[in-house]
Formats: sequence, structure tokens, C-alpha cells
Amino acid sequence: MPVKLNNNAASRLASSLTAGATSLSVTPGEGSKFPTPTGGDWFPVTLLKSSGQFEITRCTARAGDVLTVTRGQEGTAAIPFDAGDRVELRITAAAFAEYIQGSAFFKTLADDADAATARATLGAQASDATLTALAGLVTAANQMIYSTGEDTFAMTSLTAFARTLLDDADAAAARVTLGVVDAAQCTAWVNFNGTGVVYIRHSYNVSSVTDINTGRYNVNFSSAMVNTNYVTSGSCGDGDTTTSSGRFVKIGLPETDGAGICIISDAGSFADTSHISLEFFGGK
Amino acid sequence: MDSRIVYQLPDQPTAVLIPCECGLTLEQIGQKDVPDGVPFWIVPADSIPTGRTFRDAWELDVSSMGEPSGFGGAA
Repeated sequence: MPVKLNNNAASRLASSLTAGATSLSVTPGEGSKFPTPTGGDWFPVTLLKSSGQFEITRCTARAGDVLTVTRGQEGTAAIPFDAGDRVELRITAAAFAEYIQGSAFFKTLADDADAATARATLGAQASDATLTALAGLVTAANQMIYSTGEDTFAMTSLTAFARTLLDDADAAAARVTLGVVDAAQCTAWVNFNGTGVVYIRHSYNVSSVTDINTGRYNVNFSSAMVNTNYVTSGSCGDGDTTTSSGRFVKIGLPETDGAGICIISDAGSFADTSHISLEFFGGK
Repeated sequence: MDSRIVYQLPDQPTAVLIPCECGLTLEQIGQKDVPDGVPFWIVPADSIPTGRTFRDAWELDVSSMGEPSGFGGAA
């Protein structure tokens, strides 16, 4: 409901006015000096006696020289007036407050006394050097912010892979993410039968065993070692614990992708045997 | 696995590669574990001789093997 204003809108009462009257007439022909409020618009009208007494009213309609008013506004009392008393459109406190355009929320901000109060109204915090410094950064995909000093920041890469590590709950989870194997754990092992049609009973991190010749094999790792400093241990036998004859495992030079081994008999020759177990530690 | 991967290097007997369940296909295992550039064939396990007395004399009859299943080192 906006306030309607006209400049220099002033006239006089054409006739006396009782305290309870809600319409007044101004000097004939001078009604057009005043706005014509419609649809809830209004303008303030001050009635002023020669004695200095006055009353503020609110005009909500005008038809020619007749103004429809609501009496006794803004703390003033409705009093009678005489013909010839002044009728003027004067800016009042209520009119000025109404004239501030904007939402109800905006008006709660407009009347704040200072910045601190305005921030409280807005729910905002005071300017902060840290936030200002952060606001100066130009962010990009896969970048993270880090501090280089008090209230100074810079950007550095944060790859998708790094994020999979950051969300790990503990060291064990991090090792899994990194593919790092605990030094105490076996990095590969295999149990196979070296007789007949050679077959593998079970294995870990072994993609295949190559049957090269009698008693000679190569163990191929699924995931290559990162170095050749790993430990190889093994045992072999034919399942017979009633005789003292036996065989032993001889290891060849280790490679990152596999290890050669052979089975040697008591007689010092290559030999096939039914139970060959090999374990590898380290190399990761 | 009921298959074997066979290949032969010069002046050596036939090598028989026993594949493991490691998440790789037989072809991938052959490409990874057979020496680079060496042709290999994937054959049924029961086609491998059970007697190993003359293991040193195993030879591949390449002429009857048909096209190789792949070559070592060829990803």
C-alpha cells in the first residue's frame, strides 16, 4: 500500500469539521492539488488550526474536493476544525517509514542502527582476514586449499586417488588402498603337485607355475614385486614319512615377475615330487 | 583350471604353464607369463602326458597345433 505524494499540496477547509467526521472538503477547485489514492494507497493530511493545534489524518480516497480520511493518526487526537483551517499534505514519520520500498525483512534491516546490528539481522559474521584470504583463491577441480602462513593460503593438487587414501579410517585401510603389504605378511605363495600332470592346489598372488622340465619350475607372480630383495622359502616331499630319503628346494635368481626353483633329490639330480610349497615375503 | 598353456623355447623341452585362478584369462596369463614373442597354445590339461620319465624329451608338434592362442608379452 504505497504512499502517494504531491508537492505543495495545501488548501483550507471549505467547511467546519467535527471530531468524528471522516470526510472533509477543501477550497473548491483545490482538491486536485492532492493525490488520488486507490486500491489501498494513501497520503498523510495534516489539519492545522490557527492556534497551532493540529491533527494528522490519513486520506485513503479523494473525489474532487472531498477527501476521505481516517482521523487521529500517529499519536494525534481527532479534534474539531473550523472552515478556513489549513489542510496540507505533510510528510509524517509513518509516511516516511511506509515510503521505504522493500519487503518486511528489508525494513527490519533498514532500521538497524549500525553495521553490527545489520549483521545480526542478516545472520552474517563480521569481515574476517582468514575468510577474505580464502575468498581470494581461484579454485579448480581436484585442488585443495592449504595454509602457507597466518591468513595466507594456496592451492595444491588433490587427485582422485589421494582422496581414496584420505577417507581411510586407519593404517590398515591405507595400506590396502596403497597396495602396500605388511612386511610380516606373505606376498605370494603356492602349493602344487609336481608329478604326473602338474597341478596347483592353492595359491596367492601367483598367476601360473611353469613346468620347465623334471624338477624345474618357475613361479609367476600375479602382481609383480617391486624389487628382487624378497625372501623365498619352500619345502617339498612326496608324502612319505617312513623313509629318510628326501628332496630339497633350490631357489634360482629372483625376478620381480617370478622366481625359478628346482627340486633336488638325495642323489643330486632334478626330481619331481608331489608336494611343493613355496612362500615369498617382502618384495613389495 | 582344466587347461594348460604350452610353449617351447629353442633347445629346451616343452614348457607347460599351469594357470591359477588369479582374475586373469588364460590368454592374459599366457601373454604375461610366456617369454616375450614366443607363441603359446592353450590345451586341455588331459592332453599333457602323465608319465614324466622322458620329460626332457617333450616336444611340441607345432605343425599340428594350428594357430597359436597368443604370444608372450603381447598384451
